[in-house]
Amino acid sequence: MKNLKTLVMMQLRNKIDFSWAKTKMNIFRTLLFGFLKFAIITAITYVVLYLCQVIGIFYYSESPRIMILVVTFSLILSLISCTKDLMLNLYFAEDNRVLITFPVNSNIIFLSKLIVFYIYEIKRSLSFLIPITLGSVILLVSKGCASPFAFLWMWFPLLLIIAIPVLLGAILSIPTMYVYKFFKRYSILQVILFGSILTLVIIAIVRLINLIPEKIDLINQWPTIKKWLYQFLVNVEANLPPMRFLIRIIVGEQASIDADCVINIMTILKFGLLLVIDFALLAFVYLLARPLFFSIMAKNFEVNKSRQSHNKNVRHSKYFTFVNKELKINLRTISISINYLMVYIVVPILILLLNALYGAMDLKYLGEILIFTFNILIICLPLLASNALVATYYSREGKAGYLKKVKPIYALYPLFTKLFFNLILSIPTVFITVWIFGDSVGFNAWNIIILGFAILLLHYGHMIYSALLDVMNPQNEQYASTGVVNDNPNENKSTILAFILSFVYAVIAFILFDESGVQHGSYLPACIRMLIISLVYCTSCVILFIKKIKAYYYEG
Amino acid sequence: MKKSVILTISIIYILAIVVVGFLGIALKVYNEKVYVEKIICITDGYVAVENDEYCDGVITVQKNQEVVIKCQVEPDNATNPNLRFDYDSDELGKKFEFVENGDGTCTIKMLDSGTTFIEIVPTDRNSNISLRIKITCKPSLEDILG
Amino acid sequence: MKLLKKLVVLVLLALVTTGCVGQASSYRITFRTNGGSEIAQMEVVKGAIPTKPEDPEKEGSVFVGWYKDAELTEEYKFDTALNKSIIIYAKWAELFTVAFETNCDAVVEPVEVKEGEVVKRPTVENAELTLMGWYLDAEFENRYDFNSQVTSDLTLYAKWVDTAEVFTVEFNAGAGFEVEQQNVVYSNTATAPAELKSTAHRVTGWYTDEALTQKYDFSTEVYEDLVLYAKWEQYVYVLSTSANRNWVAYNNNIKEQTNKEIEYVDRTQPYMVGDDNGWKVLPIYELGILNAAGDDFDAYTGAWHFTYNLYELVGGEYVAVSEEALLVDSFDKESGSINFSEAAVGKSLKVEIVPMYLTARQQAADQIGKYVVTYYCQVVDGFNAYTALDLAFVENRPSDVEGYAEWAAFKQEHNLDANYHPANVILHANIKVTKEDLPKEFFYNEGDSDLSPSHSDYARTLGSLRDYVNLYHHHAVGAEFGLYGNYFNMDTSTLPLVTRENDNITAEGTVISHSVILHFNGDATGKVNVKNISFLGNAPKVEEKQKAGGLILVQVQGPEAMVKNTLSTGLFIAFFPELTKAQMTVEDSKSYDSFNSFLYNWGSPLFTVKNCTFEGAGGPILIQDHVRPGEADESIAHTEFIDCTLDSYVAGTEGWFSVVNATILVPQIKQLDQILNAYGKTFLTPNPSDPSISYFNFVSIIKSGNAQSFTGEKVQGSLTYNDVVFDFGATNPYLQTVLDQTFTLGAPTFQGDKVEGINGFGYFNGTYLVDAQGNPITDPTNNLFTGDYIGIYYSGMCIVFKLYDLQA
Repeated sequence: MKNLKTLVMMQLRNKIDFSWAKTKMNIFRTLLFGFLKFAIITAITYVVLYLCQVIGIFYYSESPRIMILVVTFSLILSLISCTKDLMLNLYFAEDNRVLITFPVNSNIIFLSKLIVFYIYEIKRSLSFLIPITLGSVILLVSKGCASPFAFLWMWFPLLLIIAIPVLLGAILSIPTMYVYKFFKRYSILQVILFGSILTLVIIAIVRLINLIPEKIDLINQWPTIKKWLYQFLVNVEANLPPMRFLIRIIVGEQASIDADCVINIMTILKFGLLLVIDFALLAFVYLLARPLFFSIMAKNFEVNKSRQSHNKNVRHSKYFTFVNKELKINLRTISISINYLMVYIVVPILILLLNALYGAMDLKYLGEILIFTFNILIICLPLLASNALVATYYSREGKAGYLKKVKPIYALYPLFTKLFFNLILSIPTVFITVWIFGDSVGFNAWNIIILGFAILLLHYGHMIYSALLDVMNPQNEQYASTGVVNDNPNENKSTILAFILSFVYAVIAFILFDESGVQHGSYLPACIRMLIISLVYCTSCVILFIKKIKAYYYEG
Repeated sequence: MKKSVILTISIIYILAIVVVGFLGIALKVYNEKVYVEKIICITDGYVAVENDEYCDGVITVQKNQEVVIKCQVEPDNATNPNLRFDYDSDELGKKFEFVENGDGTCTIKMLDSGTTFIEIVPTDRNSNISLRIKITCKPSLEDILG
Repeated sequence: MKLLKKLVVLVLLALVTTGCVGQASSYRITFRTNGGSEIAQMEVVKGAIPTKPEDPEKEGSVFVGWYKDAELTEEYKFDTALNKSIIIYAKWAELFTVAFETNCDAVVEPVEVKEGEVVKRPTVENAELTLMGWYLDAEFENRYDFNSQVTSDLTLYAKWVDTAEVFTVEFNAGAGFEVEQQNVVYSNTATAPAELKSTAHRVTGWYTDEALTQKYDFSTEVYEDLVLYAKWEQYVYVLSTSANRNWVAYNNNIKEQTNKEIEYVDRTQPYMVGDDNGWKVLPIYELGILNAAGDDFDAYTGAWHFTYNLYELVGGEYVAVSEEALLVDSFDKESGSINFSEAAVGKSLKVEIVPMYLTARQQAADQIGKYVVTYYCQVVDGFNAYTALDLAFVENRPSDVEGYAEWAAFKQEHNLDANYHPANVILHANIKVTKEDLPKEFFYNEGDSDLSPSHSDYARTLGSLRDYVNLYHHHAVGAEFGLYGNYFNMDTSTLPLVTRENDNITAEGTVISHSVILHFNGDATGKVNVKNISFLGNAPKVEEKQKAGGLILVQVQGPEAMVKNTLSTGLFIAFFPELTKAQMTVEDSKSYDSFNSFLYNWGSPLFTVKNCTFEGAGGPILIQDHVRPGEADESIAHTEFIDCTLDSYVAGTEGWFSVVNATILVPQIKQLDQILNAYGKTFLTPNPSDPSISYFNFVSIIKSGNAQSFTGEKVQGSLTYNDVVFDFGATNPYLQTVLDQTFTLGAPTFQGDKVEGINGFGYFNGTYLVDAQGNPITDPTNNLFTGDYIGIYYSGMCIVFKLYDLQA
C-alpha cells in the first residue's frame, strides 16, 4: 500500500503542479481561487437554469433533463480525453521504462496509473461536471423539488460516475493504441485523415447553413422555439436511458415529471448497481489491459524510420535559416499546427454561420449595430485567444532557448521569425472573415479593407505583446523537463488580455458604429477610427517590444 | 487552446445570437392597414377642373345617356380599396338613375336636363379624401323658356 | 493660491456674461418719422404691449399711420407684445387743396383733402340758374367725376345754365336703383344712362310711360321735362339646382355601409341645427345666359337669390308654418343662410329652398321639383360650425388654465368673439384641423426660447406639437355642453406629432404623448356630450414608434361625460377618464387602429363602456391605472364593459411594447400559455398568414399608476365584462388570500369566468395549477376555463386576455 501511495504521489506530481503547496500563503491563495472558480461556475449554472425556467423552456422539476444533457456531454469529452491520455500514458509514456525498474509489483504500477488518472479526472470535473451538477441540484432543492438530503447524497454517485470514463477509456485505449501505431507508421495517412475530417466538417457546416430558416424571429416565434427545445430535451431523455439512470442516482426518483425527486430505496438499489458496474469495468480492465500494458511496456516501441534523408547539407542565408527552422517546428509540433488550423479555418466558418443566422432576422437599427459589435467580438476572440500559444513559443524551445542570446544576428530577427507564420497566415484569414462579415451586412469594399486592417493590426499588436510576455518571463525550465506546462502564467495573462481586449474593442465598435450611422449615414468614419485605434495599439506594442528586447539583450 | 477558452467562446457565440434575437428584432404590427390616400377618375369624358369649390371634375352627358364611372385608388396596395358613391337620394329617380355595378364602378343616367354631383369616398375610414364629379346635362331652350 | 485667483476670475466672468445675457429683458422701439416731428425711442418691457405715442406732425402732410417697413407696406398696430427691438416708419399723406370756383355769388370754401381720398360734391344754391356740373377747366371741357381720387391741388369750376333753358330728365329705374337725373339744355339730347343690372334682370330700354309701351329714343332732342321708366328683363336663368355637398354627405353617412367600421351604430339621429347663427342651405346652382344667337345657353357665374318655405313637424306630418317670422330671425337670400330664432328650438322643421326668378315654364308643377331643394332639421340651442376656426368656440378655458392667453390672442387675431360660449357646437361639414387653426404657441416655432439649433433634436422638433397641450379645452360647471357632429368627420390626422416628452429632449420614437384634442374639465355639476361624430387621429398602429407622439381624443377630468354614437380611427388613446369622479359613459361607439390603447382609465371609478366595438390597438384595449396605490389620496379605478366587442391582436413586438419597455416581458407572458394548454385552452392564436407567429388578444391591463412600464406594486381596481369581474378578490375573500400569498411568492394566478367560492381561479406553483386549498386543478370544466376571458394576476398587475380553445 505504501508503495502504491508513493507511486501515485510521484506520478501525480508530474501531472499536476503542486508548486503552490509550498507556502501557507500560496496554499491559501490557490485554494481560495479554486473555490471561487467553483462557486462562480455553480452560480452561473444556477442563474442560467433559473432564467430558462422563467422564460419557460422547462419547469423546475424538469431540470434533470438538462442535467442529462450536461452529464452526457461531459462524460463524452472525458471519455475522449481519457482514452487518448490513457493510451499515451499507459503505452507510450517515457517514464514507463523508469517505473518498470522500481521494486514493486507491476500490478501496482498499473493500478497507480489508473488511480492517478482517476484523481486527475476528479480535479478536472471540479471545473465542469461537478459545479454544473451542484447548480442544478441547488435549483431543484430551492424550489422544493428535491430534499436537501440530495446535497449530501450527490457526491457519492458522482465519484462513481467520474470513474466510468477512466475505466472505459482504459478499455478503449487498446484498440486506439493499435490505430495510433498504424498511423504513426504511415504518417501520410495522418494528413489524409485530418484533411478528410476537415472537409467533412466544412460540408456539414454548409449543410447546416442551408438549413437555417428564412425568417428568424425569436420573440414572435417563441412558442414554436420553446416547443422545439422542449421536444429536444424529451428526446434526449428518451434516447439515453443509461444517462437517465445515472442522473436518477444523483437526484433521486421521480414518480412523474411533475413530482418531486425523492431518494428512496430505488435510488440506493441503483447506486448499488452502479457500484457493481464500476467493479465489473475495473475487473475487465484488469483482465484485458494489464497484460497488454506489460507486454508493450517492455518493448521498444520505436519505429524504424522508413525514409532517410540523403540531402547534402546546404548553407542557407541566415535569414532563411530561421524561417526554415520555424516552418519545421510549426509543422512538427502538433499542438501548434492544430491551433493554426482551428483558428484560421474555423473562425471564417463561425462568422459565416453567425451571419447566416443574422441574415434571417428582421432587425431594427439597434439590431444592426449589435450585429456589428458581436461579429467583431466573435472575430477577435478566437484570433486573440489563439495568441496565447504565441506566449509559449519562446519557452517551448526549452533549454535551447538560451542559445538565443548568442546567435550572430540582431536578436530581434529570430525573435520575430517565430511570429512569422502567424503573421502571414492570419492575413488571409482576417480578410476573408471580414469580407464574409462585410458582405452580409452590406459594407462596401473600402469599409471591408479598412476594417480588415484594423482587426489585423489588433491581432498583431496582441501577438507581439504575448511574445513579449514570453520573452520577459521565460518558462524554459518547465518546458525542458516535462515538455508541457499546465499552468503557464504567460498563457493565462495573454488569454485574459485577449478577452479584455476583444470586449473593449467590441464596445468601442458599438459606440463608433452607432454614432457613425446616425450622424454620417455611412460606416466609413467608424471603420477609419477603429483602424486608428488598432494602429495606435499595434505601434505601441511593437515599440514596447523593441525597447524591451534591446534592454533585455543589449543592456546589462 | 484550452478547453475553458473554447467553452467561453462558444457561450459568447450563443449569447450573440440570443441577444440580437431578442433585442434587435424590428417592430412588427399585426395586420397593419394601408389607407387610401387619393382617388383618380379614369372614366372617359371626365374633365378635371381646377379651383372649383364644388367639384373636382365634370362629365357632360346627353339626356338618357348612360355613363359608367370608374375610379382608381392610390396607393396600389391599400388594404381596403373599395369606394362608396354618394349621390343626392332626393333626386334619384327624378333627375337621374343610378346603379352600382358591383365591380367597383357605377352607372349613371341623367333623365332630365340639369346637374347632379357624385361624390366618391373611400370606405376604409372616415377621412376627408373624396373625389367629386359633376354630371351635367345641358338644358335646351324649351326646358327653360318653354 | 493661483488656483483661487483663477476661480475668482472665472466666477466674475460668469456673473458678467449672465448679467449681459439676462439684460435682454426689455426692448426698444425706434420711430422714424420721415420728415416729421421727432418722437423719442420707447423702451418696452419684455412681454408688455407697447402704447401708441402721440402722432407726429409734418408741414403740409397728414399722418396716416405707423408701418413696419421702410416701403410702408405692412401696417404696425400697437397690439402685440414685442419679442425684439424694432424700428417703425411713419407714413404721411399729402394734403391737397381743392378750390371751388362757383362762378356766382355763392362761395364755397376750399377743402383740404388727403391724398387718395375723394372730394365731396359741394352744394351750391342758385335760384335762377341750374348747375350743370363741375368742370376741371374754365372752358368747361372736362367734367369732373367726384368719384375720382384727389392726387394734386385742384380748382373746380361750376357751370351754370339758365334754369328756364334746362330740362330735367328723370330716370325712374325702380327696384331700388337710383339714376341721377340729367339736366339737359334745350334742344340737346339726353345721354342714355349706363346699363343697369340686377341679379337676373337688366334694363333693356327706357320707356316714357309706366305701362312700358313707348320706348324712348335717346337721339331725340329734349324740349320738355321728361320722366323715363326702365324696363327690366330677365337675362340670366337658373339652369339647375342641387342640394349642397354637406347635405348629400350627411345622407350618405347615415346609410348602411358595407364596411361596418365606418357605419355608425345609431343612424337615426336627426340633423341638428343651432339657433345662434345661420345654417347655410345654399344649393348648388347653375346659371346661364342666352348666347348672341339666342339658341343656347352660355354658362354664367354670379350670385342668385333664393327664397324659402318652412314646414314644421306636427303630429307626424310636415305642416306649413303660418308665422315664419316667429321661427326665423333672418334669411339671407343671397348666401342662403337661415338663422332660426330661439322659439324654434326643439322643433323639427323642413326647409324648402326655392330659387327666385324662375321662368313660367320652370314654375310649372312638373318642373318646379327640379329646382326646389329640401332640407330637414331639428333646431337646438347652439352654434353651427363649418370650418376648423369655428371649432374655437368649443374652447372656453378659464383664465388660470395654461393656454388661456394663447387662445385669447388667437381668437382676437381671427376676429372670434372671446366671450361667446355657445351651449352646443354643431358640425355641418367635414372639418379638417390644421396647424393654422390652432394657436401657434402650441407648437415649437422657430425662435422659441426652448428650441435652439444646437439641440440634437432640432430638425424633428421644429414645427412639432408640444406635450401636455389640450387643443380644445371645455370647462363645464353647472351647465351642459354638447359637441354634435351630425355624422360628419373631424380630421386631425395632419397635425404634427409630439417629439419632446414633457418638454425634455427624448430619443427619437420613444416619446409618449399627453396632448389631447378635446379636454373636458369642470366638476360633477357639469355635463359634456360628444355625439354622432367621427374622428380621425394622427397615430394609427404602424411600425413607427414615432406615432407614440400622437393625439389623445377625449380626456375627461371632472364633469359627467357621455360619448355616444361616435367613430374614431388612428388615435394614440381614444377615451381617457383621468381621475374623474363623475360618470363617464362611452356608448355605441367604435374605435379602430390605435397606436396605444383605446381606453385609458386613470383612477376613475365610474367608467362605463356599453355596446362598443374596439378593434386593432397596438397595445391593450384598456389600460387601467390604480393611482398612487397605498397613499392617502389613492384613486382606485373601475371599468364596466357591457355588451362590447373587444379585439386587439398583438404580437408583442408592436410599437407600444417598445415604448413602455415591455418587449422582454412578452416571452415570459407567452410562456404562461402552456399552463393552460394542459386543459385544452390557450390565449395565443396563430397569425393566419404566418402560423409560426403567435398573437394574443390583449383585452386589458390593470397596473399601478406610478410608472409607464411595469412595477411590482399591489394594486386594486376592477374590470367587469358583462357578469365576469376581475377585481383582485375584492368580492371573494379566497381569491384575495391567494393573491396576497402569490404576490410574495411571485407566482401567477389565473382567474376565469365566474368566481364562486374557490371555483374559478387557481395559481401556478411551478408545476401545475392549484386551487385555493392547494389541490391541483384537474377538472377542465372548472370555471377558470369556461369563459371568454382569462385574467392573470402577475407581479401585482392584472392582465386580461381572451381565451380560446386549443386547436390540436
